[in-house]
Amino acid sequence: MIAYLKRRRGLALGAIVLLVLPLIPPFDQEDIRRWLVAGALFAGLAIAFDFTAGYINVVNFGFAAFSGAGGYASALVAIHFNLPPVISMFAGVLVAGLLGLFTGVLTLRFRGIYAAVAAWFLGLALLGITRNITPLTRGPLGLSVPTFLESDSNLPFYYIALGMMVVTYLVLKAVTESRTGLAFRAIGQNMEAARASGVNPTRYRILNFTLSCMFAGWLGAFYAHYYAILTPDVMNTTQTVQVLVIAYLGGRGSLWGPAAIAFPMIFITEWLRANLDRFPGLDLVIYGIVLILVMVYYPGGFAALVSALRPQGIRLICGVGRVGK
Amino acid sequence: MSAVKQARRHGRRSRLEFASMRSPVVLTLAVTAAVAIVGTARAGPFIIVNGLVTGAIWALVAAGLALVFGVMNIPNFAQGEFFLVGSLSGYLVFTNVSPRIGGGLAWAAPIITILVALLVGMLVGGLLDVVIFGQMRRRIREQWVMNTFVVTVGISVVMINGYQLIWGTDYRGIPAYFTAPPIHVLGVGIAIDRVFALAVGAVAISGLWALLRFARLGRAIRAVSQDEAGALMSGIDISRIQTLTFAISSGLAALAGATLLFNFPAFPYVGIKPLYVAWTVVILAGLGNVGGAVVAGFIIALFQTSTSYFIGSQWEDVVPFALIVVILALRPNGLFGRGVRGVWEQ
Amino acid sequence: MLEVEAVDSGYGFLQVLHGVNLRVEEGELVAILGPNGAGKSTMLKCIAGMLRPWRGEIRFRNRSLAGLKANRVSRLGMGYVSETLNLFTGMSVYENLLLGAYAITDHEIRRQSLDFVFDLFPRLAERRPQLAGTLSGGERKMLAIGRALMGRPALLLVDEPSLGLAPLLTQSVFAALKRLSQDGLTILLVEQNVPGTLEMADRAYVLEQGAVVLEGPARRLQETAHIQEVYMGLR
Repeated sequence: MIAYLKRRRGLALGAIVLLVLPLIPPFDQEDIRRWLVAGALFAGLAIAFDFTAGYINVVNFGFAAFSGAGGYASALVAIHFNLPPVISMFAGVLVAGLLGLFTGVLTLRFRGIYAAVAAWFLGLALLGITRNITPLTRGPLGLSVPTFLESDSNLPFYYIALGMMVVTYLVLKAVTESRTGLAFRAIGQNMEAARASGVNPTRYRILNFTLSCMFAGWLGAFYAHYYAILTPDVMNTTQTVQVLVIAYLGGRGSLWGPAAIAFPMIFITEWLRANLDRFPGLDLVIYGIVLILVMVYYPGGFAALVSALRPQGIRLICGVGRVGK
Repeated sequence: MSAVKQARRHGRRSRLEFASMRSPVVLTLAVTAAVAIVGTARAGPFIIVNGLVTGAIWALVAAGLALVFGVMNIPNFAQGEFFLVGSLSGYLVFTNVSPRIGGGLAWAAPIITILVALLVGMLVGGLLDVVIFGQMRRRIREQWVMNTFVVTVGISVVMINGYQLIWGTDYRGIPAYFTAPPIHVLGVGIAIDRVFALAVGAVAISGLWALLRFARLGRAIRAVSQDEAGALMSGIDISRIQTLTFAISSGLAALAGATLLFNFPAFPYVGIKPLYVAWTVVILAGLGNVGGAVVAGFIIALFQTSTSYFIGSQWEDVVPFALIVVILALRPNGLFGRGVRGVWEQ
Repeated sequence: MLEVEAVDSGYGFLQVLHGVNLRVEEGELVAILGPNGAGKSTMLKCIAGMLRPWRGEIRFRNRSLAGLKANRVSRLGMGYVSETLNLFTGMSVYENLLLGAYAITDHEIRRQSLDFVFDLFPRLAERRPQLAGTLSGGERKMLAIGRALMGRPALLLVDEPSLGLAPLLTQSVFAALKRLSQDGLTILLVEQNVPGTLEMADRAYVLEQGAVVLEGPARRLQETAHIQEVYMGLR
């Protein structure tokens, strides 16, 4: 345990900071705690997204739809079977996982961009279906969803989200550090070469999609039971774009980079949104420009920046542990 | 790749393009024909007419998308925003020009409008290419397709919200370009604006085809798409050709946006539908296949109009997407795809 | 016409060329010989502008090529036939040739070059409307040389014309190069077929491990012990 923590020094440090953060001013205000919840949620989503984009090199452009489908599944099970959200969430995991499995099987013959677009279309079809089967989902009117617990404070929700994020990170990190992770990287780099050296790309791609979508569905279920309302818009491409921006700014293929960048990103966008309401859209313009600048001049993102600075002893300040490898 | 293997691959494809199309293509074409016939029998010829009009315009947007992917390997997610550039400049030009020229010259206003929109689209596209993709070409070689894809996502976000910031969320549209009464074909009344759109689509597509087929510039564009090193050796300035290609592609989308202004008023999110449709079309045709995109444009438009008539307009987007996924599962390179070129793979 | 001075170059971290010097005078046919991986093709790529020298200078017609991209170098009058040929496989033979003359806008000159190429390689004239991707190996070589000639080069760089060709075809390609040389075209050739090349060339450089180990008139090199031992299997 001690050795494990030592190896994961950065993670442990980060987790401690995140644990006490909502208790210290100014982060103890309920408004800011809400941002923290969103930060943890998006950190988890970005990790699950990076697990696909950064390793097997396929941008799952239908990500939000799969996550949202998990949210709807969990919400519907909770409503119709009167189950507590903690249990119904696993319906979300199951549904999103099955969708991921289906996507994986469907796109297994496609190369990078085709797979991304196929996933996108599947997501759009899912969104359309969700919007149209109003008897079940109430469509654009929105579905009211029972919350985890009755509480005026965002604190318990924050710890649930944080816990889910950490579990997502630990599980996916463990996978990427295993032989399976090596196979992911191999097929992400060069599918033909991977196949030639005995890695079966099909199997690993399906596995990757399924795992990523399972966590997406789980986190989607949290979204549903936290915000207490679901509209088909949660499945929209713009939601995927938001996760994608965080994942790419954080640095793909690191898992921790997207998680680390999620909190400041959410804070900055929320702050911009709150303070620039005279200029609707300005926050997203800035968002987009930053994304373009990073992609053009520093495509490795935050994770690559930290790795580059590490020799100068920045490690402790950034609270970042070993990066894979 | 060895010369022999390469020769064999190309040998297979040269035996008429149709030879390599297997059952799914025939099936899709047959289903399309069946939908067209049944649709016409049950709902009247307007299904075909509407399919033709929207198909011609979708084909424009999609051809631009296919061109940029074929030549520059950029999967452009911002193509819809050039449609928006076209709608906006179309609106600004037409509402200013139309009141000033009246009488016998009124017919000229829409033409001036779409030409200006084409130019503005080309200018914005060319500028973006120089500022962004030119920089990327100099810096990044690995993961090019995915990196540029993400960058175009960023461009799309900036353009949509920049538009909203400057022009707000109001709809800026016009009721019609032409005030003349509709003409009747096969018993269907077709608004002059739709006839105009069909004509613009036909002219633009023929123009693009002639440019690529016969012009020196078009030949250079094809050369860059087939072998960049070979193009360099022949003295072709690849960067310039790519900027021009991006400009042409954006111009086509803007032209489409201006042409359909009577149907799609300018507002921040107007580009989303053309984007979805163009991508559907391009995937159906096979990425980078400009000719296929035109055919697929009509197929998709026909499916959309019949879906919205027979099933309901809210399913108009769902059914084509589901269809595409099925077709892709059968033919991963698209209907008319010829296998993905080396550079496109990671 | 061409001076290469102390050029270092390579790919990424891998240095391939170590201070290579060579020169080609007007009207000469010069060969670069050497084993696989000696850096011959890398040298040609540097001269053609496809690869940037790390150090050293390349001058062509008394003009430094530093910082020029391949398309600019091509327009200065350098024709380049690469190892992989880089043909436009989806276009006809005719279109490939036209693209070779991309920088030439004068119709009359373009037509003359076309006649010249068809005269040199009558096979290409027969295959004029055929897609380049469907040509045989020998025809592809001819097309690549023809395309380079269409730009009216002052210097023609040819990378391994004999690669992958049957001996008979190699001979006919060599014959064409010889004829071009006799017509006064300056040619720099990279080859592994040492005996045949030395028969034809005026001068030659032997490149080993990225450095010139031998140079001189082809006749004299033919008699060198090193050449006879290593490249001709004599002695």
